[in-house]
Amino acid sequence: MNPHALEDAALLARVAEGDESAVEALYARYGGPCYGLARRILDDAQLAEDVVQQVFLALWQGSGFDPSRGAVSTWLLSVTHHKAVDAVRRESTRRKRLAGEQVLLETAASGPGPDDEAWRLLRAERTRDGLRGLPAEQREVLLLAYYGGYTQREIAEMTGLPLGTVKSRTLVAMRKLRDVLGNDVGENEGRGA
Amino acid sequence: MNEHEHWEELAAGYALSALEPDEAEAFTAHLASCARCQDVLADHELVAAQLGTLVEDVEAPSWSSLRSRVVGEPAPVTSLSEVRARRRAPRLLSAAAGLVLLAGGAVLGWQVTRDSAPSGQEQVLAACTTQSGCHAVDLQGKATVVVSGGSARLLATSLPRATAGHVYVLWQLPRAGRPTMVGTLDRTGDGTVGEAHPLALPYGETAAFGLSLEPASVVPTGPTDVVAVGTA
Repeated sequence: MNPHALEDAALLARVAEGDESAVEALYARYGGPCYGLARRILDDAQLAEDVVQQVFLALWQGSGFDPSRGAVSTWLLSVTHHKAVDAVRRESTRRKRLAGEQVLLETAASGPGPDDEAWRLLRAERTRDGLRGLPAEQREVLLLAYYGGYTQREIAEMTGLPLGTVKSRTLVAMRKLRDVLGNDVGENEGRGA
Repeated sequence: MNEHEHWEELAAGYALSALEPDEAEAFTAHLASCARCQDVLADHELVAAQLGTLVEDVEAPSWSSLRSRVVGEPAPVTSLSEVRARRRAPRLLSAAAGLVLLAGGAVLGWQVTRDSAPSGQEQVLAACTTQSGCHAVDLQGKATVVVSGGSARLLATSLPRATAGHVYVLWQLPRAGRPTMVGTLDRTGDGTVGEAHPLALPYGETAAFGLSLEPASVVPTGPTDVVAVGTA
């Protein structure tokens, strides 16, 4: 169980009432991971800060988050990812052209060390194990999309694979990770598995 | 591949923000009426979020540095290009030297019809709600962009008069690429209805619209003082 789930629910209720200290508390909890993700994708501190600001502005304005669909931590990371990818695509020449999945995997598989934020440790090791357990060709299409910010069409062009193959490999990879993470994914995130 | 497999592939790509705009549009349209895909997408999004927790630790900006932009009034920065435009601002004059924006808007042509009563806006918005393919994008309560048939019309709802020597400029922010100027609006007031102005890109490829205040003496190369934005 995400140890912060109940506190998050209380904080969200206060955010809905316009309590500024509640959004500050959520930022203290999740701002770091969101910023880290945005920074990883954009490779630019100012742009990453702008993305995180937009994410928490959306939270403050109550736009988009539906508590019945999952945990706020998941939503924040999803929105952060989406906005960061949008930003990096607006300026494709700035995008880091990474050598390939080796670099991406290195980053993903090393990850943060143990810290006192339980939610961040939640299933992190299992996720890394899951990534390591994927065949290289599946891991590649997944990581180029998620951390590289590339569309599947771009990935097909980069790798020379048919677009259909990129799509099918991505789906298989996502299903395998889902299986590795198990039923506790849904339960821990506040929705039925 | 059966039909559901097709949608599930799109769900996985959607959760990774890896679809092309047309694919994303098709998927979201389908999603609205498919409970199974909603569940599948929720699962994929949980997996994607897990990937998001694996990045290296970096120190986030302090809350005090973000606070005013989250709970305060200023418009959020919405694109990389805007950030770059801000950084580029001092070079704006030389970059656009020689091209003059007439204060009356004659060059770029937001021909404003100030005699339009507020009811004119209501008529435009009412017509939009019944017209297929018409979109109304709110710019933070200050103005509304009505897009129909590849053209945009600006309705100023609560926009202060532009400061002397400045004009309002409407921008179209594509999903990929830099903001494109749609047109200028030199005079404003509640109830103003601008004439339709053609868009450079289809609405479906638009991430957002933005309104900025720019010096009237030169054609801006990008938005500098952004006063309102709205997501398409």
